[in-house]
Amino acid sequence: MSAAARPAPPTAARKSAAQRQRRALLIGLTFLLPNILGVAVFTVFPVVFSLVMAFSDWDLTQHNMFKEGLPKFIGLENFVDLITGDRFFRFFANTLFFMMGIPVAVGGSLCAAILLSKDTSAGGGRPYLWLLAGSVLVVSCVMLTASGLGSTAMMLLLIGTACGILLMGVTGGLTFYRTLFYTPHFVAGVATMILWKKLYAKDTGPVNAAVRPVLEVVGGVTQSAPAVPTVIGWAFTALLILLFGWGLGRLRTMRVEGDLGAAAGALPLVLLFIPACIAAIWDLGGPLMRVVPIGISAVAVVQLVRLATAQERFPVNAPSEGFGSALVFALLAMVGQFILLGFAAVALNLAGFVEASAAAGRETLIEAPGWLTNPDFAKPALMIMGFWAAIGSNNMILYLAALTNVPGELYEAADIDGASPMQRFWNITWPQLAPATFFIFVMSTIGGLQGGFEMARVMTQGGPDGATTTLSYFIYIEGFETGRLGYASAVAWTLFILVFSVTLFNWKFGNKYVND
Amino acid sequence: MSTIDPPDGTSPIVGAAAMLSAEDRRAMRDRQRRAERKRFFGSIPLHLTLTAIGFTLFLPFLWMILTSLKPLDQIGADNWLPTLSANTDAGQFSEAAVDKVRAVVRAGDTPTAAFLQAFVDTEAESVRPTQLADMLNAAIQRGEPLPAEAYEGVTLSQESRAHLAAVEANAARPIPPDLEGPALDDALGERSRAVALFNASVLHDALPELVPAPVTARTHNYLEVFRQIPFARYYTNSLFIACWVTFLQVFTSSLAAFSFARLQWPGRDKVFLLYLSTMMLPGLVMMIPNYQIMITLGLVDTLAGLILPGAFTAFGTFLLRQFMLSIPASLDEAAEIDGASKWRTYWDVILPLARPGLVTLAIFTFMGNYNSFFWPLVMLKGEHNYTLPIGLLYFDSSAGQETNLLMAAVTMSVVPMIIVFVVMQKQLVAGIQLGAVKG
Amino acid sequence: MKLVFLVVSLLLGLASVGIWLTQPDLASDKPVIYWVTDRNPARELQVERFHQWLVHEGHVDEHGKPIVELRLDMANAQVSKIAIQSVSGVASDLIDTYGESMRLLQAMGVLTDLTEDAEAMGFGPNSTYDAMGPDLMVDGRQYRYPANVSVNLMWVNPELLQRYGLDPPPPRWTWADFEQLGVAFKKAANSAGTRPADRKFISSHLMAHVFDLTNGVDPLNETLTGSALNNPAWIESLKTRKRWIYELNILPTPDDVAAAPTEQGFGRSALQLFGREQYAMLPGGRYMLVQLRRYSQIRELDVVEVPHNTFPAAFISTRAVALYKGSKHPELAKLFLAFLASEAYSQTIVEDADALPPNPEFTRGEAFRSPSNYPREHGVHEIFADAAETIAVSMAYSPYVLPSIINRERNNAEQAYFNNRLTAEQAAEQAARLIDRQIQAELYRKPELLAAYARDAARQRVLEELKAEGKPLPETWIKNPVHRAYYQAKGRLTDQTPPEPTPVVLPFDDEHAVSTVNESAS
Repeated sequence: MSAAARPAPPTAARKSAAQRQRRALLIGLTFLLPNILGVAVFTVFPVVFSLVMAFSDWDLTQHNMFKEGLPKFIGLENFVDLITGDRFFRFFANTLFFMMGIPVAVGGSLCAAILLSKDTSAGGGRPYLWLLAGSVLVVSCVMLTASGLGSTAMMLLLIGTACGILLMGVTGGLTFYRTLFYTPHFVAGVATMILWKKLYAKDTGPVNAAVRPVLEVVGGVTQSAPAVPTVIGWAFTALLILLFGWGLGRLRTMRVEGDLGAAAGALPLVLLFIPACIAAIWDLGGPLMRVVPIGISAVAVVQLVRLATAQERFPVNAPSEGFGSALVFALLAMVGQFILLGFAAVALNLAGFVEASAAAGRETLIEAPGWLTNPDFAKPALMIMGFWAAIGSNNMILYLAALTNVPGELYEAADIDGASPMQRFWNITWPQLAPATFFIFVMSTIGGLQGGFEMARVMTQGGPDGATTTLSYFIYIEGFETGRLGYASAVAWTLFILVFSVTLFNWKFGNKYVND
Repeated sequence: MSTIDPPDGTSPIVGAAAMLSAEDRRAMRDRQRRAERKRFFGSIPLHLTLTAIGFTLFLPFLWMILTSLKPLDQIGADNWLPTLSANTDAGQFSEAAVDKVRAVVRAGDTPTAAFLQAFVDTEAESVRPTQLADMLNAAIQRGEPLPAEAYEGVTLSQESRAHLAAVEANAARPIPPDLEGPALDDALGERSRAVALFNASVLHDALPELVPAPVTARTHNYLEVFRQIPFARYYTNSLFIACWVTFLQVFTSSLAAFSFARLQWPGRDKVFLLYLSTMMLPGLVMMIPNYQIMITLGLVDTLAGLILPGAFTAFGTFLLRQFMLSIPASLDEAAEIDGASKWRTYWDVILPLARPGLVTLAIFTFMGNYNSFFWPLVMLKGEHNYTLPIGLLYFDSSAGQETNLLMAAVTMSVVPMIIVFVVMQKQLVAGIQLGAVKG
Repeated sequence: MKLVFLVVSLLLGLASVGIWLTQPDLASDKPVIYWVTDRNPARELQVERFHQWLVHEGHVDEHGKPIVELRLDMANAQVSKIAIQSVSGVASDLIDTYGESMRLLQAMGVLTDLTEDAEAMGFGPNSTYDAMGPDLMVDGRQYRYPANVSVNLMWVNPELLQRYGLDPPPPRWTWADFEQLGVAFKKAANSAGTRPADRKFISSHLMAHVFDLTNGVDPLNETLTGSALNNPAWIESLKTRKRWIYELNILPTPDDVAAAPTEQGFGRSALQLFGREQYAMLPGGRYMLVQLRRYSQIRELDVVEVPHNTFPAAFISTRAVALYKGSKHPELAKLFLAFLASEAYSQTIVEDADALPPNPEFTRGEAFRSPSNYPREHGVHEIFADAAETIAVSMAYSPYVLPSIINRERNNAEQAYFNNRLTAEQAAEQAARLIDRQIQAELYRKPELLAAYARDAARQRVLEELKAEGKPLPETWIKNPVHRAYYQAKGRLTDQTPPEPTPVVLPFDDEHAVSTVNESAS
């Protein structure tokens, strides 16, 4: 945090300490001046202004240059309104839902970074690869022209594009792939949002054009053999319970190894149970809501018994020990469980749905969803888009940089020990990436809590049925559409408190994790 | 990256190898070849994986580019490729001219070449944009090919003759009466398409300056964007704002970061914390106070009003401070011992060393401001000041929803970002390496 | 590094000069007023006519040129943008408003009260349609004057219906007939394999309030003091529309609309699809002719009333020009409002068919009724003009709640029901409850409204009793134009006013808000 203290230059040494301090302050502030002036005017002033307004009844329809009377101080009333109303919590839940995508996106970035940090040069074999890719490209071009741009031409075009990417990748190496991966992120903005809006169009969008044949097959299979999706659904359920067991086992191992303090283990433990609770609370289709809690309780009991009977090999240093690591595991396991839960629910309900739809005499048994017009699909749709943009985001670049910093000797030592790739990753790469992971999670949480405004504004107007309204879009609705700026400020400051405490929390525990 | 040095004769290994027996040499070559083969096959899965991911990520862009080349009526077709189409825009016509065509249509006649020539002759100053193709399709709406007398005296081009042959072939082969459902629709669609292509092609032969020939890829969508909105102006504005903000931000942030990272002064860390915490308040609520500030400064609806608030941020200072912290302290100490002033230390020592950091910040700032959406939307009044994200909405709003033009505009708006990234990407990765991650 | 900085700053400086030099020249030697309006080529002609009119009326300077220059501002027609600009003192002088946006801007206090000037300069409510009057005013004060007036009827493409062996509807018809026709049309016009983009529907998406009006349903109650959505008629309306859209699919779902490739966004896509013969009918006003004239595929055009159950009616609405309070040249801007009431302006509306001219006088002529250039439209124009003077009803706006909030809650409830998140009953209950809560909140914020509210709420109670007993209702108490027209049509109004009830203070269950207000007010 600090630049090294330097010995004072000889001329300054003769001056008194106070004088030196004043001089240092003057110089420091001079350098700061251009920036701090701007920040003070364009950031600090509005921040203070909105803080004051959060405690007032400022309403553009009531208080403006054409009306007499100033906003009144109303104490905490805006905040009380916020907490007693149901909208804030609904939109907060939306925001949290979107934030579940963060671990997945970060994981994707990490995978991409690992792939991109591999040595892709093909040594002496490069000409072969050239030849391969080139010939495929040429053949596909020829076929493309020959087929007279019919509908098969599209497939050829896609193959040609893939080959072109391969060819460019072989010639351009990592630079090319890196640019390609990074492209969705840096062009993200209104332009790509409009693009995805068109991609998601229900009847004319290419997403559904790709999904429809799949759904047709699924519908056909389900109709002829209703047991298949049910079996798959149970498989998902089993996987879910296994994943829960893995997460819990991981925590147990950490505990036994002395890496996890009692206080630090509490929150991760709670997180692991959330999907099961939600499965029990929500009506996710008959058997699921009974089996999942039962299975999970059984696993939990087994693991807890094992934990109680196990010998602690190493003593735990502090109650907060190992929090960061455990939290990351728990988050991953939780999001994984949610995904599996979703798939299981869909698969288990599929047979009934297809049956009903066949009974109703519909042409297509399973209709492709209106991604942005159906409240059940709007959130996942936006998350998929976010994932597309996030894989190659700054996070990937950060991971890439961190990976190049991992000392090669560590891997050499591991190779001598005969470690498997998985072991190499968990024991060397992952701990070495901890600082980057920490930074990324802090920034993603801040971004996630504040995010979603532009997507909602450009793509969905917060709909359908409020499904994509996040807190930041809520601020927009209140502040700009109904003019209640006092209330909007209160929402913003509530959000600020959330962001601030999460960041502080991350900082306090995360730093420990980084230093582990 | 081959581990075995190339046998280029100068290598000492080769010199040693020359002393080896022929058998040994063969064995060595074999080993070398095996290693290369292994390396070659080993890299295939990696390349395939990377290609697969890259391809998936690229698909939306591919769709975007192809859609930008389509005519409007092919949008949403399962085929991503634009296909030959008779529907082409053909400039602007006056109300009077349009009425003339309408009168003929209303009478149930098909416009003849003579009529169309007269139509062209009366074409005066253009008043309202109207699609000629629409009108002509309406004129021949019963889906019949133009009668021979309509193109009397016109030399048919090869394309027209081909289309005519297709039409005649269709006519000679009636649709089986038992055809129904999608198959029937397809057959009917095929026929009407052939007729439309023939008609358009003939009209092109007769009036080449007015009716464009049927085309596949419509590159003029891109020109159409410039015709419909002052796209060049939006482009300039966006680039101008992004460049200015980047320049100012990099400069002022580096100064402030220098102060926070390399200077000692009382209260420094407290001020820095204050800086940091301003990043956590959602920007939306600051808009209204900022708007009032802009009114006070008289900067509403000016590009300066977009540049100034973006130019001074806590984020840039934070980022650069992290970079500067990682530069060894001994360097500026040395400079100071040489009697350099703080300014010289900043300018000659720290700035060059922090270059990767500056580039990183430059890219982030450029991207952020080039894409910035809501502040310009609120701030700008006059159309000549609009930026690209605001301008793009024109094609996706109540004024219009021409997906093909929209995609053309989006494609064009993306290009500068790709250029900036490709030029600077080496610096970017190297830059982040130095710091930023350390708390 | 130095070089980079130097070069960059030099280049940026040059670019700045370039940008500065290419700024459009906005200077003028006379006062300039700006008009925020939609992007429509016809506006330029109207500006030109205004300048001519100024000369004609003698508003000229010493060189015989118009004393003011009117310029168009077409890029700022969004309400939220106008709102921010106007509270900050930088909005344009003349603002195009619709029912909703005028109420918002008026509540913000940024519109000039035009009542006296309108009387003096001839653009008062008397110079337009009778039913239009309430829509120009808030609390009896006039804030705007129509640039055009629109009556919502139904366009029909009779030839398309006949092509499928169906008879076009009569001028006045019922929703039952509509459903029947819709089902028959859908079956006849769409074969099994029709691409989604080519599907044909009987009509474009029906706006909720259009449908509700003909059932005598309005989101607000008779005295505008509360929501009237939680009633069986609206629940029925929700169910009917869901059946039409999602079950029978005779009306397009939002996805169906999105599927069709159109050049125009939002509401206007409907127009294009009607022009392409994918819709047999299209609810809307005469203004649609501006676009319909381009679609020459349609050989015949007809107009009928929107179907009804027992109450034939049509909404009358307007795009009307208001005067910004912060205008630097209010007197000159008022000239433009006077111009809107003149024959010279109405002539442009008559010609380009942009809805009805503000003044009904100018709908009587032959130029309006039978434009020689457009024989297809003969017989259509007078239906609009007549409807504006017979069955037209203006929309209801409450002083206690912004229309945008009503629309928001109504749409939310509708979406929740259409997406199966709530039942129709729950949705209606939710919409009504949330609107009522907003009214409470508004009263809490504006104690000055309390007295009038207390009186009206008490009247509402009496009205409820009278309604339940089936007795005639006092006309003067019913402020909601929809209900007034409905009861009028049903013959349930009386001139006699019952004794004024004691004002209520706590008309709703949410007692806390109002009682607090009451304490602070007293």
